[in-house]
Amino acid sequence: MIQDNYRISDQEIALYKSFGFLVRRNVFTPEEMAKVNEEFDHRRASVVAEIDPEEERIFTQWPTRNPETPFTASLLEDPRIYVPMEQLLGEDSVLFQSNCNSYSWDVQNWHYDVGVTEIEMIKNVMYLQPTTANNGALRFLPGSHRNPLREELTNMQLAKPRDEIGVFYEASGLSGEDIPCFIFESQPGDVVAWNELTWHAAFGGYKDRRSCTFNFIQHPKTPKQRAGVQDMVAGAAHSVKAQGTVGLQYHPTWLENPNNNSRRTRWIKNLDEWGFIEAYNNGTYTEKQ
Amino acid sequence: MIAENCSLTEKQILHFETFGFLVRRNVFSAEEVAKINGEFDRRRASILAEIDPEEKRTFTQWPTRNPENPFTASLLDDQRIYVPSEQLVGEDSIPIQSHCNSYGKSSGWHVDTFDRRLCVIKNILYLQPTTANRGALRVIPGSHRSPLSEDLHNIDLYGFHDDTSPFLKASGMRGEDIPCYIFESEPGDVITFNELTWHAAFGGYKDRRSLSYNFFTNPKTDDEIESMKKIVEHTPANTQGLGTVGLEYHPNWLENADNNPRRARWINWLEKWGFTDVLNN
Repeated sequence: MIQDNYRISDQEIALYKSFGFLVRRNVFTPEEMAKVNEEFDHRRASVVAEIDPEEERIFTQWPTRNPETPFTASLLEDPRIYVPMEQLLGEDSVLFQSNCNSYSWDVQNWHYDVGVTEIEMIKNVMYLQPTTANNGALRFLPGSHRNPLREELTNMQLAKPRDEIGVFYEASGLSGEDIPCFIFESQPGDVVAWNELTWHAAFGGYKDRRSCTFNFIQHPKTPKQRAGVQDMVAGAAHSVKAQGTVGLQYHPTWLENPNNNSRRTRWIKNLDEWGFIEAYNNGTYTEKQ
Repeated sequence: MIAENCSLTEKQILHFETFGFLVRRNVFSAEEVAKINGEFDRRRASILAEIDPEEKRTFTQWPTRNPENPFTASLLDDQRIYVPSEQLVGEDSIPIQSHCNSYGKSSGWHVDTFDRRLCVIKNILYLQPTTANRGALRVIPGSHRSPLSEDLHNIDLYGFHDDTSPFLKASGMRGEDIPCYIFESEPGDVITFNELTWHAAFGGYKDRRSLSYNFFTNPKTDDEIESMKKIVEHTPANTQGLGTVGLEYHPNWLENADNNPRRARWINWLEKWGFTDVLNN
C-alpha cells in the first residue's frame, strides 16, 4: 500500500520483520519505468562497448549515481525508496550501493547476499521487465533471514557453485526450482525489499534481464555494528572488480551535491567516514579505528 | 520421489523438518483417483440426504473408515500413506482421524493445532486439480517453528473463516497477499505437513474435495501425555463443531477382519486412549 506520505504501514513492517522481505506493487508508474528503461538502453550500450565481450559475467553492472542516467539516479532520493527504508532501518540509515544490472546468467542459485550479521542491510529491487516463475522471477524463503532456518539452509548446502550439481541437489534429486518458496512474480513498477540475509534465487532468466537495486545499511551504533560496517567496506573493495562493475559507485557529480540535498549530505559524510567511497571508487580499503 | 518401498529419503525427511511440509507428486495413479472420486460421489450424495441443507458448514465431512467407500478406506493401510508418516512421527504413530472433505469455500490462514508439545502431521490428497486461483493449498515454509511461527500468531494473522484475520482487516491486505508457497497439484499428489505449519486455500468453490489422514506421535514424555489427554478431552466438541457425519471408526473397520497387525495396534491404542469412545459415541 503506497500511502500519500510513502510510509509503509505497521502491518507491512511486521511482515518484513517476520518474512525478511516486503513486496510493494505499483510503486512506479509505467511512464516512469519507460524512462528508466530508456536510460538503461543508452547506458547499457555504452557500457557494453567498454567491456570485453568474451569475458564471462554474471551481469553487466553499472552504478545508478551517474549523470548519464539522471532519472534513474534521482530515484535514490525518491521518498518511495528512502522513506520505507528509514522506517525499517532507522532515520539515519544510508543508501550505500545502487546499481543497474543487465543479467547474463539464466540462473541465480539459492543464496544470501551478505555473511555480515552484525548490521542490518536491505536491498530494494525493481525489475524493468515483467517476471514470472519461469521467466526470472525472484524467489524467497520466508523467514530465512533468521535462525534456525538460515543456518539450517546453510548446513543443508542449499547454496551451490554455478557449474556444479551441488551436494544437496545430487542427493535429493531436487532442483533449485523445487525448493518451496514465495515467487515474486512482478510487473515493472513493483518493488521488493529484502533483508540481505534472506535466502533468494531466480530461475528462467535470459540475456539482458534488467533490474535496478538500492541497498541501505543501518547506521552503526555499537562496536559490533561498526565492525559489521567495516566488514562490508572491506568486501566492497573486492566486489567492484569481482562483479565487474563499470563506472564509479559515487560519481563526482553526485558527490558534488549541487542542490545541497541534506539527506545526500548526510549520506556522503557517512559513506566517507566509514570508507565506502574509498572502497567502491578506488577499490581500496583502510581499516578505521 | 516414491521409493519402491515407499520410504522417504533422508533428504525428504530433512526437507520436511526444515520447511514443515513435504510434497510428493504422482503418489496415486489416475485410475486410483478415479475410484476414490466415484466412492466420494456416492458417499457425498448419501450424506447430503442426511444433513440439514440450511445448516451453515465449512465443509461436509465424513470419516474414510467406512465400508461404503472401501477403496478410500484401504488407503489408510496403504504403505504410501503410513510408511512416510511413520518415518516422520514415529513407527508407533497412529492415524487418529481420517476424513473425506467436500469444501464449500476458501480457508483463511490458520494452523491446525496450537500445541507444540506433540507432533502431528496431516497428509492431504486433493481429488481435483488445484491452482493458485482455484483452491490450491498455500503453506508458509518454515512456519511450524519459531521465530516465524510465533510472529504469525503475534501479528494476529489467524483467520480460518472468511478472512476474519485481524491482521488482514487492519492492513487492508487479502489472504492471497501473504507470501507463501502455493501447492498447485494434480490428483494423485500428496502433501504432508506438520499441523503447526501455517496454511490456507483461496479460490475455493462448492465441493472442493480432499482426503486427509492425520498421524499423531505416540506420547511418551509427560508433556506429550498431557497434550494427548487434552486432545481426547476436546475432541467431542471439535468434532461437533466440524459437523463430521458418521462414525470415525466404523465397526466394520474395528473388526479388522484380515487381522492386520498394524491396524490391531492402532485399534488397541485408540481404545486405550479413549478415542474410540469419544469419536464413536
